[in-house]
Amino acid sequence: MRKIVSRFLFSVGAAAVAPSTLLAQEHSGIAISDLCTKPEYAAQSEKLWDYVTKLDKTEVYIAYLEACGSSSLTANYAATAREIVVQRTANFTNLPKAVHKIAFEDSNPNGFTSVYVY
Amino acid sequence: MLPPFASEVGVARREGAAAYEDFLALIDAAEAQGADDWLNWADREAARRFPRDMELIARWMLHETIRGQADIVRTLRAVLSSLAPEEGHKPVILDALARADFLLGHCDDGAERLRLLVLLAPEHDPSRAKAAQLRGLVSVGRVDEALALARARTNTGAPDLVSALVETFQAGNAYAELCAQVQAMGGLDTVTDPHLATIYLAALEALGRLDECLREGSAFLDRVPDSAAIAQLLRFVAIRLDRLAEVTPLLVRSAKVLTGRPEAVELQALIALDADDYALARDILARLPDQTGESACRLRLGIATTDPSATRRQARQAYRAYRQLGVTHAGPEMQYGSYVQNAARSRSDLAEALSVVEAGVPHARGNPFFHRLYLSLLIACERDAEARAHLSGLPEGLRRARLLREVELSFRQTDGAHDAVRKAWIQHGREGGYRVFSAKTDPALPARPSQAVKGRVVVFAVVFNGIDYVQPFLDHYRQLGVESLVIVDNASTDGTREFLARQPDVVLYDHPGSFRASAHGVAWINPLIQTHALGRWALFVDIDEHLVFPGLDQGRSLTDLVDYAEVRGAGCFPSYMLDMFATPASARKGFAGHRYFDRKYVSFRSVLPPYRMVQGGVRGRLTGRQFLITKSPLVRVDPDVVFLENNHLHTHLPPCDVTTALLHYKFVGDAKARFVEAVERGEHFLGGRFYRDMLARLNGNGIRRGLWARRYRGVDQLVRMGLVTSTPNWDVWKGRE
Repeated sequence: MRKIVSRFLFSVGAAAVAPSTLLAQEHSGIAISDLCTKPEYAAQSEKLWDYVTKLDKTEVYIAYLEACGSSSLTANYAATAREIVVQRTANFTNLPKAVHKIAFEDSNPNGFTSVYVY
Repeated sequence: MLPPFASEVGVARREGAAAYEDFLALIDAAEAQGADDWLNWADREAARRFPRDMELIARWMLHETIRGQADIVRTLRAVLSSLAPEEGHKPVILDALARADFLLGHCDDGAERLRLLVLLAPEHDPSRAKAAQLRGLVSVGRVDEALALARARTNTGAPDLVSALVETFQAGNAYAELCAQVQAMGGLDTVTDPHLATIYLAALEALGRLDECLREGSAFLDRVPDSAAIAQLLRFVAIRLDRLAEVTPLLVRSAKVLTGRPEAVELQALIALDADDYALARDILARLPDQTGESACRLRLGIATTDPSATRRQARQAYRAYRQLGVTHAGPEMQYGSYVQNAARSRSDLAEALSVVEAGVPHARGNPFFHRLYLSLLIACERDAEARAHLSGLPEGLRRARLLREVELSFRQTDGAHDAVRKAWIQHGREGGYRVFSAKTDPALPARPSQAVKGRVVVFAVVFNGIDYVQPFLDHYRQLGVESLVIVDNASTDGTREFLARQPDVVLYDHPGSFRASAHGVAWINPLIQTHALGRWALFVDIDEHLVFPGLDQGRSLTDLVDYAEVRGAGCFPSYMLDMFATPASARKGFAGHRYFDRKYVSFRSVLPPYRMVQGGVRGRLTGRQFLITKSPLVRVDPDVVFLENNHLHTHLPPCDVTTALLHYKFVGDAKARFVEAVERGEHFLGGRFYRDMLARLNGNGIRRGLWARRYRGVDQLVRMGLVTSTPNWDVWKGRE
């Protein structure tokens, strides 16, 4: 019994501290930043932006910026995401309450999940 | 120049701002004026209107960084960090990001951005980012890295960097470097920032450079009177130097300038406390608008622990109320813990004081006062191993602060490193902030051609109008076998001088100058001890103090006692004043009538020579004040020994395992008249505050006996009661072989 409990605690602990890229790779083997920077993933990149705008959460826009903000392929989307985050911050609306990471997940109909980290 | 934010002109100015240039001009002006209300509005309004202008966003983030708005900074940092290098590497953005990194504790990211900034934009001033780096490292506990950077960093004179350098040296307790930094940029005269000035003055205090601290701090407070923290620091230093009267007018002025702020109320109350006007202090406390806030709690605890008529329960309640505020510093523990320690009359009181102070350890940070108090209590409670572990765990810079150096020296003395301790005290005594080294007085002059002294033990004393005392004094010490007494007469007018001049064994000196200016006679006695007692033993006593020691009842001599100490390698004898008093009925019988003493004393180990502290006695019981009754009057004289505070403390001498007591005849004769005179002369510590208290409580010259009083029957009685210590070695000592 003691062994089971300790294993359970260990696995919970590991999930809580795992870096975002690790989480993303755990799901699919594809890092989100690859979707934005590699032309061969252009279709998934479009889907990603759709996913982000559909969720319309400041935390997710920030997660998108962290993954794709510096890519020239998605510069327009990133500029929009920045504008939205800046406006919301200036207006004290929808301020982020947590840090999210986006993960690519084949089994999800959208292909993506927003993973709450802390 | 921006108009007041809420004014009509201000409203119009905001309504008129529309173009990008309007906002830039507003932000520039608000930055220059430090108009935070304008800046807050302009940043947000500009962000709403021009949300894609990342340079504007960078400036906004900087302002939020300065305000410490971590949540907003975290969001904006994510926005700016995501920029492609061609935009993200613009100096304004790199600078802002680096500073945000440091605020948020991402010091390595910040260091990389700072490196890029210096590399890519050599014309950009990186001083603020460098300052942020120092603060960031300190705030995440990487103080050693911050110190190394600060030491390597050239001071460009940029104000923010100077402040950060000073703050870093403070965090690393590198007080000497801190002071050198401020002095290198022109000294305190060039400083206008009270925060920076406070750090500098506190460093001077920590180094024991109290005279400098008081001089420079007074000049600063005169120039910038609305500096409440400096006013309080100066008050503390002035009390220590017994120069409160010089500083009080400055404190009064500061309190006036600060009118309307809680600091003013606190300062006014402290001034009232210094004048012993506790009713006024309480009235002032009642004026504070927030009676449950920190100012009120601090002041309430200050009054409860200073007013002699306040009960221990009131002090405890005030402490608990203060602690319940959840403050993140150890102020409540220091104030209440030191009060309990000073009022201690038993070992359980000391244990209580320790448990109070222990609760403050997590909040103490680098406060040398706190750590000294904590270490003193650990030592008092015989928890040496913990004290040593705590001391060795403190940062090196903090261990060099004068208060902690003394703890280290006490451990070295305990370990037997007497010669090293002696050498260290030569330096430390002068750097330790002791008044005797800054006393401004001339030497006492011999009343007649120099006389040779005789005997192994020479008595030293200062006297003013002591005619009721001198004969019993001489009788007592002659009886102990003393052959020479060196006495400084401080311009007596009652015949004391003439009487002493007739005594063949008295080497008489004159000094008509201020007793107070001579650090209460110590500056006169120290050189005389070197002149007359080098290689002998000096017994420095007040004229109303009669030394007793174990074996005296059996006729053992003082010479025998010091021989015993020498053989055991000791250089001093822990002692204390055993206050003798008379009942109203026995008061008229002079010394013989003063045969009672309080039995309630507590003795415990302490940090300074003679390494033993004693508390208790009738004066403390009557007045509610804590008197320093610990003494160490009998010392072996080498060229380096110095008395520091009267005969209470001295430098470097290892203590003997046998202890002594001074029968203290404070109340003999017309005590009331003498106390009135002492208050009027103002020559005693803190203007004779303790004499004032005694006067308020003396009814005639007698004191009613109570359950706590005992009749004095001899030294053996004191040994049995544990009020002096003998040892089996001394009991069987047959003299030097």
